Amino acid sequence: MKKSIVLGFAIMASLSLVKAQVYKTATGNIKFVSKTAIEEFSANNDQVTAAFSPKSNAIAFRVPVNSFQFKSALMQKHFQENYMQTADFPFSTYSGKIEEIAAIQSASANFTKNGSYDVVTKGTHEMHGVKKEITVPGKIVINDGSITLSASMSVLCSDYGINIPAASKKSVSDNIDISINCPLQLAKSK
Amino acid sequence: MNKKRIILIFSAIACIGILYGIYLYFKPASVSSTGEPDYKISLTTWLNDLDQDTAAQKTFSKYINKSIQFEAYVADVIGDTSITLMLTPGKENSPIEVYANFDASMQKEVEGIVAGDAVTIQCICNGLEIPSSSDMEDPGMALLNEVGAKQLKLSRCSVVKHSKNEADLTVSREQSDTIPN
Repeated sequence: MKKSIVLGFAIMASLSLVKAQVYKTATGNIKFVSKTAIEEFSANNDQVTAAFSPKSNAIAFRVPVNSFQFKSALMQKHFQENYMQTADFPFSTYSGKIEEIAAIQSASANFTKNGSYDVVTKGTHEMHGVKKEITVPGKIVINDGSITLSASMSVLCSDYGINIPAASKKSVSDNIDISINCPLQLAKSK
Repeated sequence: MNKKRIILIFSAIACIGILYGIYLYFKPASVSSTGEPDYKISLTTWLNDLDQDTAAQKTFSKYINKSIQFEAYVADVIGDTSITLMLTPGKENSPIEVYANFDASMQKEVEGIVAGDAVTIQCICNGLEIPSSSDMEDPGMALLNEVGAKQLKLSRCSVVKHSKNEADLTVSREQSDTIPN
């Protein structure tokens, strides 16, 4: 009887540990590049909040758009005020789920073994107040209990209602290349 | 003669305009907030208001992209190049996590700051992350909200004042007392 009570407690404790397996960061990195024939510029942001649950394969990012740091003050001002309107849309988000995991069996998909896993996620991307369903290929690197999420994608400004004035079309590309890199730590359960 | 003078004046104005345009185009973006801040606030009052008062949350947008100066305690120092201080208004945990990011070029400014120190800093306010009820229906957003529900994001920070943690100072004084001559 005593043994089964102890066993019961042990099972409950291990279940609560499984529930707590959420990895997060509030200081992930995102970069974007705009390239046209006459001009190339980029911006960097180290304030991405990201979370990943190896159990449910859910994945999410929240980017404070105002945190993008440009080289030029004028570009930064235009980006914040004219293109992204950060006072009205301060965050961009992505919420999705891993749909495909290459090269490993789904049984080992709870990412317990060290290695680099190519994944494909499907989810909702919200930017500039516009939501779109997108598919994003990415990579999950497991290294001794720490997890790093990385991905690269391209977005069209026109898909998100971001208007590039005719005068700037030669210097600002509609197609923006984005790369994200987020080393995560195991979060304490709340 | 008169015509020549007019052309000369217009040319000079055009030249000044072009030079000013070039200056604006190449002017580097600021990596830290300095000078007189737009708001000097008590972090305790501000966070309590933002945590409990929905009216304060609704009017939060007035702080976006403005410079804010406040006193806080350092709960954690995160990062290698671009340093982020996780801050609390007091020595206890805060209802809202505060992340203050310093540009990589400002690394010297945050050198020596450790958890437990008191700082007065000035930053640009980038946003307040507070989950909405619709967020909770989405598994991904619910996940974000589970691990750090409320977050205040600040960047382009600069240190106005830094005071070492008194407990650390006592320890270092005790250590120096024990160093043999």
